[in-house]
Amino acid sequence: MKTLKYNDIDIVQENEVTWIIPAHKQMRVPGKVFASEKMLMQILKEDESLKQVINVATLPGIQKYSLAMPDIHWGYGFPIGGVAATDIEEGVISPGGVGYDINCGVRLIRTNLEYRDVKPYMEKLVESLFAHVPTGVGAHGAIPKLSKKELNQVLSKGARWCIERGYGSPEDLECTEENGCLTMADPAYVSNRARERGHNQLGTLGSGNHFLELQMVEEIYDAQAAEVLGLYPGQLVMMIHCGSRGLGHQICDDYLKVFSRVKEKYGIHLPDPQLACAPIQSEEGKHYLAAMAAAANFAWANRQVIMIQAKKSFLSTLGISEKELGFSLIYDVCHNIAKIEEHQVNGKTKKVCVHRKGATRAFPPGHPLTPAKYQSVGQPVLIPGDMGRYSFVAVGQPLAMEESFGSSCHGAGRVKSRHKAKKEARGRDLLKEMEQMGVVIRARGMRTVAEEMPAAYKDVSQVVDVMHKAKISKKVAKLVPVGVIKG
Amino acid sequence: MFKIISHTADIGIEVEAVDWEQLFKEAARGWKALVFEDSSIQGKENKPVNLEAQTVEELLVDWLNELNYFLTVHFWVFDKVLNLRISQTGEKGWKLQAEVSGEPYNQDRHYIYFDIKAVTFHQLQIRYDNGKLKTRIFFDI
Repeated sequence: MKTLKYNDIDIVQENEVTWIIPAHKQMRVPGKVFASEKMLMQILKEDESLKQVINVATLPGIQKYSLAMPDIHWGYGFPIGGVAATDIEEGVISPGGVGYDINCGVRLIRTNLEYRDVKPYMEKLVESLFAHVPTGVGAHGAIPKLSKKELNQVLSKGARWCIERGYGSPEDLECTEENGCLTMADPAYVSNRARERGHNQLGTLGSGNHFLELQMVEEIYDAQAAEVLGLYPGQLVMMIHCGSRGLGHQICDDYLKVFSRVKEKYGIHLPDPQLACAPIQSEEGKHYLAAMAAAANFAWANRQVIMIQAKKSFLSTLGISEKELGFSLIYDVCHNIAKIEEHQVNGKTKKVCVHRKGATRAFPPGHPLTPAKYQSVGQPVLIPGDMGRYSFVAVGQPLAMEESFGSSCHGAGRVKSRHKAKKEARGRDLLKEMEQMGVVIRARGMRTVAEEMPAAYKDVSQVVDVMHKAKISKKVAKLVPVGVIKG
Repeated sequence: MFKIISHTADIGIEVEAVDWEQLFKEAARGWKALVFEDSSIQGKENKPVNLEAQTVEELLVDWLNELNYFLTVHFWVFDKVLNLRISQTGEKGWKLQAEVSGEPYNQDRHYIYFDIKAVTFHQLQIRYDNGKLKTRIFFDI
């Protein structure tokens, strides 16, 4: 087993894909990083994200480890790809441990269609999806503007509000993390400005790395799990990646400010102001949790509406029946969230607040919160890659509960800055290049396509393989993009 | 003056100015350059901005967030800062009064390059160095 040096700190190898940063100075717990040696060297070289793992380990009430997934990269306060569980009685909650895009997440939908049959209609289908799902900055108008009362209902009920309004079926809720609703939500703690930013954005994709992708199942790694999830080679599926839009961004902003003002009141000393936090049991902590949960509910409703808008595109473009289409939700996971969950700590079951920032819940077979239909294989873990290569479906494993508070990786992570990607794209016909790769793309502007080009991202397969080897989440299927819409 | 800073996963601006007013004006110019790049924006109408904050750093974040708010909620794009006054209100407060010009968003003329989710407090510290005020502001996008 090796030891690597990082700013005079030893990073000790535990096994092929796990590394420990021993607790030192103000750290209350050790750091634990899931990565191959090659990836760890890369992480050490490219940014200060391991310093952020160390900073997170100083948070009051943190339990067991400050965790880093293999897709870790530098973020504001917490690293992206960071997981931290805090004691709900003695510990803190930090908006920086959730991120600005509260409940940014991924949803995967299966169809009864095979890619080869839909290929001749792909351009028309992508065009129709682009028309039905508003994208870009300030995108709005997917559904009629919500009244204050309706917005409160969305914030309280999440995806359930959509089902009550005819956007989907009750089965969709069974296949959504937390059934698409955090019951601790309270719209009373959502500011007017957050409401202003969100009231007309339900059902919109936004911009940046958010997308709606049509994908083909290219490879199956676990036949039994794939069968349970309803996946087979050649099948056409759809993946949606987006979050709580301006509403969630504003809530994070509002509470970072509140929390930065109370650190002295609670005697909290932090190595980075972006880690601003408050005791979970404090008034400020409870208010943030209630507002954050409301934003999470908005995000689940957002992805639910987008799914139903996309279904309309499929039906109208292909002229087939709902039965022929077979559109059904496989799963919806969030990867920016803080949740109260039960975990084993020092041999005892304990309620903790699990912050997952750029990390996905990965509950194993038999866990009470794994949906009934996936009890035999584990909760689906959805890991998007880049728009030219591939994304993955995995399932949670028992070791995740012992090693990572039931958490796995969430994506690829950038390898090139947006400016560098844009510079490299100059003089190239990226749409044609994507077409040659078999991907039809429709975006609001070429700038987004340039910034999001495949070479701007790390190879997500390496990230997924680490979690597979660590027995945290098991690979089930590889999906390749065939149609993309972006903001 | 301002300079755009671009790292692997984040983006920001570095601002240098001789006084508070210039610092806030340059930060607004930097925000505009990032969001709209070379889009043609006309100052057809004016909007007042009045803000109060506990620290000058918080005031700067609120100021840029206000420009973002005009864009994302009111579909109104900012062109120039016309009048701007920064004052300290006692020991524990800062105040900004400004008028900004701009026009309603027009998708044929205005291309929005970055959807700024928020202006962050990351490493945000305004320092006085060699007779100049200097700071770096990072955006979450």
